[in-house]
Amino acid sequence: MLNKDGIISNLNTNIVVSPLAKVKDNYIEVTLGNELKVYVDEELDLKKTNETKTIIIPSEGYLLEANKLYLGRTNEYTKTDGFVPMLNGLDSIAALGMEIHVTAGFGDNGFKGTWTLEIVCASPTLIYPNMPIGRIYYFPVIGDETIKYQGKYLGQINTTASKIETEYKLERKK
Amino acid sequence: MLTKEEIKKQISLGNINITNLTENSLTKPNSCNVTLGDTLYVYNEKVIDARNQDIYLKEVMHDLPHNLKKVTIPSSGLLLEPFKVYLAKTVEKVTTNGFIPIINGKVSLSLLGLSITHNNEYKDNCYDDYLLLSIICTKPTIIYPYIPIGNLIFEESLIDRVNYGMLSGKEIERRMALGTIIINNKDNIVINPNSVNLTLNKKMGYYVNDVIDLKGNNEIKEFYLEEEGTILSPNEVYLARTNEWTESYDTVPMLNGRSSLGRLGMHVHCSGGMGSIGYKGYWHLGIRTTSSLKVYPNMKCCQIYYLTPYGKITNYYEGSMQMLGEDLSSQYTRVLKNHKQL
Repeated sequence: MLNKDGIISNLNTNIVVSPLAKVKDNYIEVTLGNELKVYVDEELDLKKTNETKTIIIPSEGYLLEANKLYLGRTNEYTKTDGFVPMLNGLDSIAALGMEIHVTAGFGDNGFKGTWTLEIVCASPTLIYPNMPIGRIYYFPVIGDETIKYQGKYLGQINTTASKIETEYKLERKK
Repeated sequence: MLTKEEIKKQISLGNINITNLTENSLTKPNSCNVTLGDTLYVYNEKVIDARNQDIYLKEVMHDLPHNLKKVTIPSSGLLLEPFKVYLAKTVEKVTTNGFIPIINGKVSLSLLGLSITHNNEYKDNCYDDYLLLSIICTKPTIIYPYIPIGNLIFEESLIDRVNYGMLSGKEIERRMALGTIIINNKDNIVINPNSVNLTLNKKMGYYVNDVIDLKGNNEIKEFYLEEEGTILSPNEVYLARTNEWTESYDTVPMLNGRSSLGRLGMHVHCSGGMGSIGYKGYWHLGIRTTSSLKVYPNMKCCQIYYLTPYGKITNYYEGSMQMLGEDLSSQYTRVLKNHKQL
């Protein structure tokens, strides 16, 4: 993966992060946005639109229920060209029994947008907007990398729920 | 990812140090075993305040429990409650200079529904500490002291953007034509910018008993996903596998979920995505959901990524998962047996 100098030399060209604090090491730090979404139904289906409800985290904090999925987002908008970004959490957040991502974090070369987080806590947990939530590492893409991400979540800004049902709707149209 | 040969070389150069590492812990092509000790830390509080996260972490890493309660795992085993976090640190302490240690779970424990990390797999460039374990089980689970608990991997950290990194989709295709990467059935697969989608085989399994015993033979009941959809329960861990058989000889394969499914709370493994150079087989998944979720046979369920090896490749994977084939089974008892022999 890229080291700190590698990230700095690619900043604002092949690697965009906004807003950006200082690059301290071989990763970029990201923080928690204040917008959460929860699914309304207790039973979810890949082939249906699963409705969500929005919750805004107030500055004094919000109490997450245990074992419930909350979708969130990073404050930071990122874009990469020729690099695969990877979202990783923090030891201190893992120590709370909190996950921030269910798929384990690899993005796609060419993805641009904020990162949707998939938050699950083992215990009822008080969280705060703008708290440090993770790090993004960068892997150079090896080989012909002209095909970049053009998928469903390209350019997302708000916390975005799953759009998987659109894959099945396309199939039905065929 | 560093090969075993490169890890050994960097140890001899003093750029990597692993205390309590036995000669036989470094046998796999690109990783080494790490072990759980006999101490766990648990929360006393009913509500946890995220502002105190650094305090809790220090209590574990420095063994100064104050807010946390210390629990000893007796050799006869300790019953873990499901969905509760138990904190610990590895027996091994890792020191690096210019390499990033990564702790990943074992597939065999993932298949038992046991997570040992929560997105905190990758560490710092110059690391000097034990590795945090955040253990959460899906069903009540009996855990034992001094057991192999995870895999330790190292990633190089370079300014180079040309030679080391992750393969693009087109590069994966090129190597499939060369034969150094094999994915069957290649006519059905979807190639992404830097990964390949794999699909879910319709045969799945769940554990029959209310309690999972890490040292036991945990009986599995198999079932088939229905075409109209089958609802998975959030209180189970489901054994499953990909339809696709994969092999790779010049890259490190790694499995992850799909963003669209992660957004619905579907985990395809428990801390356990990192593969080994030379692994031949289907990918065995420990599927967990956060709510009731209707899933379908042959759905695209995960993605495989390929990372370049850093250093000389001297052996291919020959571990416990290698002989599994189409069978659904954890193999952790095999891992334990191999560990005892060391």
